[in-house]
Amino acid sequence: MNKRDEIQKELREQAPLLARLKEQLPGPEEPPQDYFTMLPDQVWEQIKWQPAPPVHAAKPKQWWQLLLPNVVRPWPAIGVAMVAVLIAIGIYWLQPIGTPAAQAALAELSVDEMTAYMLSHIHEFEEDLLVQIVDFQAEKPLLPFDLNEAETEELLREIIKDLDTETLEQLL
Amino acid sequence: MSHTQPSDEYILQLLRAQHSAELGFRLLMQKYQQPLYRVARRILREHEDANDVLQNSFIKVWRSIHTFAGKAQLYTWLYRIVTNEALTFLQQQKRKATQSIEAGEVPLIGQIRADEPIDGAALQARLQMATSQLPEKQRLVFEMRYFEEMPYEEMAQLLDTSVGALKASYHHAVKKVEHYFNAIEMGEL
Repeated sequence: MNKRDEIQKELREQAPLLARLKEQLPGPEEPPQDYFTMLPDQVWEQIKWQPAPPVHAAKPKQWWQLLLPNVVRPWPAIGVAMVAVLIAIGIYWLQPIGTPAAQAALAELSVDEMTAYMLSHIHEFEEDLLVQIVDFQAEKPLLPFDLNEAETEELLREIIKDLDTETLEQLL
Repeated sequence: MSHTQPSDEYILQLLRAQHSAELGFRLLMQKYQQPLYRVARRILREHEDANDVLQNSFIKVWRSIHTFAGKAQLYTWLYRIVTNEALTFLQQQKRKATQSIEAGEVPLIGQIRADEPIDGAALQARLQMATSQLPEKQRLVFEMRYFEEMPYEEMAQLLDTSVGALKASYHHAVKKVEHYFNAIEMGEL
């Protein structure tokens, strides 16, 4: 069985109607003699007057494309990684305390823990701020204006012990 | 197509260098002109029309070969260009034909149902209509197998796909085309 018969047999099995129609089709119509010999010349005659297709010139590389082959070599890669680690450490070190992460940790502290922390670090807080917040909390001046520094501190210690969570968080 | 034809990679390599572009293009035409002519001829029927379309297609290929990204096989890309050119040509002819119908001429597509048995040209036109409903890959496989009677192995080389995948595509394509003809017989179309 030749290839043509094989193709026809396959078609009869899969689509009998198309196999019958194929028999009614005229054979492939041939072009005039020597058509394919002459066609490339005819086409080229029209093309040669047109600009040549752009040659695939390499595009100028971007800065990162020039850098990349150097960076992916072992030693420069280790160097770049070291610099990146140092920068990350630097950024972490310089990060202010009041970051969202620090605030989240603060929210987990209990009132007693916050009070204890404030009492043991009372010198690190600005006295004016403490007075202002404590007064605001009490809605009237609690601290007499004629107290000296030691007396103010002592009085603040007493008041801090009675502050609620929200005010403590505000102070911290 | 014989197996002594230059490879697509070699042709493209020649086309990319200014000094060998002409040779590359001539090799491309020699390799693909016959199957592409048959594609155009099937759609357009007349040799003169097929010749016009084929020449225009090759000029288009020359102008845009640098845009060929190599994602599809070269023949698939060329086939698409020729098919699009041929269909555009048909649409232009259709506009002219509309004027002829108004003048009293009967179009070929109108003869399809009226004439029994179907003559070869009308059958070709009907098959063309049926295959135009197929997805591109199935249409290409159907044309190569049904009309060109190309062995699967040769198609696999041209389209860079497996014989199994081609058999599956052809099976789906013939089923759809047959369904289309059955629908016509049942008066559904």
